[in-house]
Amino acid sequence: MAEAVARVCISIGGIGTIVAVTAILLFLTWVVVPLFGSADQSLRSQAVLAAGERLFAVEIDEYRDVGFALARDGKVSAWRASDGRSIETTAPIGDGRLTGVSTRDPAGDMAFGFADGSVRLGSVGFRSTFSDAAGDVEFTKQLAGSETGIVGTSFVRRLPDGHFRSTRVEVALEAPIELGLSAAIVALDLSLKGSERTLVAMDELGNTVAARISKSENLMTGDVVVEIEKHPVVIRATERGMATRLLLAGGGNELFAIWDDGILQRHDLRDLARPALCEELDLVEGEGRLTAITFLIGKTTLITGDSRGRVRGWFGTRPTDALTPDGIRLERTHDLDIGSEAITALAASARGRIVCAGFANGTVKTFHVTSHKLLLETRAPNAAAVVALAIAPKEDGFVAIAGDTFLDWSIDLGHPEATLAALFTPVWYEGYAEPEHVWQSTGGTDDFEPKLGLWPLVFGTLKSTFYSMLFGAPIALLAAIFTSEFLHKRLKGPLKSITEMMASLPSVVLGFIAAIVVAPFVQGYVPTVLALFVTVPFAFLFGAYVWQLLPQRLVIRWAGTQRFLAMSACLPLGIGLAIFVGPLVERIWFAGDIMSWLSGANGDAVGGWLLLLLPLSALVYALTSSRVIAPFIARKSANWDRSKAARFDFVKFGAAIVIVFAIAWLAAQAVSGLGFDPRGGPFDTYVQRNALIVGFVMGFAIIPIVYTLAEDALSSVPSHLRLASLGAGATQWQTALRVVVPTAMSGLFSAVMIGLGRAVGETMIVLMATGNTPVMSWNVFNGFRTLSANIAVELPEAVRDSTHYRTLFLAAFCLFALTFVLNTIAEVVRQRFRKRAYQL
Amino acid sequence: MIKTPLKTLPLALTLSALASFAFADAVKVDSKIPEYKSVQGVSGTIKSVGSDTMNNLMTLWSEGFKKMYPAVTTEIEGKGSATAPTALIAGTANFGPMSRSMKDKEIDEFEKQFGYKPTAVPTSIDMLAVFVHKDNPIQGLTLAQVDAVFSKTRKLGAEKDAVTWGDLGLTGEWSDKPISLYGRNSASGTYGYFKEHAIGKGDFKDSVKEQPGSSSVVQSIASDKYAIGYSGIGYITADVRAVPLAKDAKSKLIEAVPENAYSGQYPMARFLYVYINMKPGTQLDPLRKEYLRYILSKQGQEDVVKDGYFPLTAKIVADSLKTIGVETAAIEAGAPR
Repeated sequence: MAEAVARVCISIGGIGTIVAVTAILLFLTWVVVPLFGSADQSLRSQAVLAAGERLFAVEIDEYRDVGFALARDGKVSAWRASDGRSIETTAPIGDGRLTGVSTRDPAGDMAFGFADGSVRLGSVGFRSTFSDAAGDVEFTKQLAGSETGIVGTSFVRRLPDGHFRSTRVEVALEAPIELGLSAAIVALDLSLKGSERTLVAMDELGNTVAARISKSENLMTGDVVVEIEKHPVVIRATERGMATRLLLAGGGNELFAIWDDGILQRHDLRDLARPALCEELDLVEGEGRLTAITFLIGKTTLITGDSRGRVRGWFGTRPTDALTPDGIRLERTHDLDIGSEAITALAASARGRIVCAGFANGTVKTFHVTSHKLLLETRAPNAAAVVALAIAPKEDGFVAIAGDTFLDWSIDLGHPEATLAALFTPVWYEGYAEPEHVWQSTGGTDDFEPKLGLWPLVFGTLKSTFYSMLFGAPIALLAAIFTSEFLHKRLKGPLKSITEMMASLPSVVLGFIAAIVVAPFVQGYVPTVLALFVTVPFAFLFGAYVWQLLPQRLVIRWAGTQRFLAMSACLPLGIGLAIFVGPLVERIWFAGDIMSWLSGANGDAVGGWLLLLLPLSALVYALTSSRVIAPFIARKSANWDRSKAARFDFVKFGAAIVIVFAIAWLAAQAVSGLGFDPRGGPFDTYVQRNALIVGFVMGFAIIPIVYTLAEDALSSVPSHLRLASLGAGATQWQTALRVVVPTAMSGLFSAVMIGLGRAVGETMIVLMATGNTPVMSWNVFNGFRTLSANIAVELPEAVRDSTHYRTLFLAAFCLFALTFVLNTIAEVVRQRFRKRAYQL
Repeated sequence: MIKTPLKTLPLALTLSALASFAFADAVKVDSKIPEYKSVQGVSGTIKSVGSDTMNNLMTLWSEGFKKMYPAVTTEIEGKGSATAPTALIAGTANFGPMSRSMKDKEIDEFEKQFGYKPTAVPTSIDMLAVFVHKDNPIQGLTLAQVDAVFSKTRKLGAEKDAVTWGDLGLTGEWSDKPISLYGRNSASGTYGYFKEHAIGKGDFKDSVKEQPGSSSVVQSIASDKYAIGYSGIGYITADVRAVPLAKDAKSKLIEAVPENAYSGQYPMARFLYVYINMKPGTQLDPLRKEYLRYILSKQGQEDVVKDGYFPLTAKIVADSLKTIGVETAAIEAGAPR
């Protein structure tokens, strides 16, 4: 009866676990999948307009209610987006004397150039207001029951809560700015950076002037100081004639003068008094003409379209071999499209890195620039050339004027930033010299390019696990073997419980201690800490050989507490030795200053290799000695007495130390002689919060678990195996190593694997003890950013269902997959070991 | 390499340092800002989620407010400015303190939910300071140098990367010491503001150690001699020093002192905002209205001074009150103390 109940309970528990894990997996998948969904579009409305075909720009407001176009004659025409019905606007800008306009800032700011050489700043934009109670009454009457309507110069829409929102097009012009130009302005541009505005204008004679207008306000006095600085810029007219476009990039620090055949001259305007021509390049490269050009948000990446149908992206990089005076080279970094029809219009989004391209045959394509992804493709029903394009401010639509028709599409872009390629392969981000894996998910502004490369995080997780296990696993396993096979029974109980108590330390406490206490401490004593890794094992071995020198009767009598105490004394001995040796080593091999040695400033590579190769050389020595020397000595020493053998052993140990060092040193000389340097690999610049600290502190989390499980596995090896081995004349050491450990291998392996699982998923320690730096280097002296810590850090800020949010879930999914794969491998290996153990 | 122009200006700096020292003592709340007087019928819970920079500030205000209205309870969470929009949208907070202004994308999300934009109320002034260890001899940095230290894209035009203190002009013991970088996590408004203004919207180096809070940035710098980091001026301690900054190699170094924040000379002075969800054309409920009135009163602004930030001027207070629909006539008529 009881058995039946137990069976049911266990079955329910087991099935429940499987269901729970599957549910988690399904949930993660459910959140992640939309990341890779495709974009949608639909034509919302189209209408024939009387705006004319010679346009500077077309725009639509953020609620997609009203559109306007700015014609080359200065006329501003506005219309209702749903049916193209005209809305009254102000008189034309400049009374027909408008000859040029700058690019329009998303807020509406732009500069206007006139036939008389004057330039005026101003804005053309939308203004939306919400009605109050009085307005509600008024608008209700005006709209006479309908949801939308045109009241005066405004478009009015009734909102679900009963209030009204009215939107109108506003034109504002400031007083002319005296630039000293007298002929008609043919090209000009305006750039805003905080309260600083940079303006550049060229008249039809080719005279060009750049001006910087800065405005600062004193909060105490309310005084506003406006400073205008203006200087001529020489733009050499070539045999091709004058430049036709001027564009200001980089917050007004760079001026691009562009010719229709695609030649671009880049001038450095950082010091306005001394503008410098930095480079000249060809945006078209060969036959063809430049037909459209626009900046992406942030005015750093230039998108060009030419008559051969190519849409390409360019931005300034800082290659080390740049020959330009300012070290920047404009490079073609994005090939978005290679079409056959000419590009006639380009438009960039004010929210993200989306760009729309309009073609001569009425096709409109939408791209995401960073990922090079073609998101959408559509065609104007009238198949006329696209004259002007604009993306709605909220990226929920775009409008085009094709021929005389206004077209309005609704779009849903989904998550264009996240393609598998963008997440897992190197991506060429704005300003970088080459494609790279980068994780930097958010910035303080909209023009930030999200960098969602997951590799640095996966790498960080692996690095953290590797160094933690490198430190924790050997200690835990050796401690377990010692406890189960060599430690006196009386001490075993308390020692094991003490170690298990270590496991109960909350990881946030460990992380806190690591960051506040351990990290600054270790930074102060790096050579000593490094020496510890050599001197402590040495001290224990030394102690063991000394113990052998004791008379046999004492060894037997002191086998319990005394031996344990003697062993404990080895630890301070090792530490003392390290304190003594550390600075010495630093002086001899690390040029007297390990910090600057690590950052590569001075010293040769020998010291580093010596340190790295010591364990390897010890291993080589141990293998050779057990294979070659040991049998020889065994034959020789067969009839020595115990004390003679012990003395010989002690001498042999001394020789071994010398030999191990000699091998390591020779190898180090050889390797560094070949020109290899560990700096740049496992060693590099020391950073206070680093993998060494994490490995050390994570040891506190891993060691107790691995130790307990491993010890249990060893203890559960049937004692008849042990007794048989001892009875056959094997020593305790031989029994432990050749009989007990192989039998318990499956248990030891699962102990390590559970430790590994803990290390992979550990969050708080790495969160607090590393700087969460998403670097990709194996350097043990710098930090990393793990998947788990990254999720903990960034999830609170991620807007629900945003790309960032879903990418974090993808990170969780990766973590899940990683542990799942690890555990599966572990289980397979464990089963194999277990089978072997059963055969014994 | 860009050299600090400081060597040419030792006298000017000493003078301005002296002057600023005197001024620092004299940070007083504008006497035209009225005192807060409690009203009837205020109760409920102040739930604030957002900026870590403003965490202590929100706590001080709440304590002061609770003294007047014992029935009011408070919950304050400060994990970073980026958590404020999320919380306001989800309705889990009625105040969203932010140390930067909201991004358009965040406003879009808010508007998608409510149909109108959130309202920003400036509450105080902060200077984003670049801190070094107290023993660090550096006299000042230009923004381009700060950019070269923190950013891998160097958008402000420094030609060389700055990796060691020697790259910033320090000599002797410091010349070959690597610079250890500390910063905030990306949820932080300070992170965003610094990214925008100090490194020209570039990218942080991967080696910037991200700390979960401003105090842990300062604490880390205090325990790492070769460190540099940034946070709001309110978190300054005796173990760290705020480095004077210059806009470019030609202009003079500006100390992180209040007069320079008010005069607009310090390159990284900013408002600290509280965002609220306020439907246009309606009145705020008494709790939120009174709480904001308290923040914008003499007592509230004295709390600002207490926390190491700088109070608003009477004019900005009047503008702020107007945005939340409080009659401002009383303020203009307010008699000096």
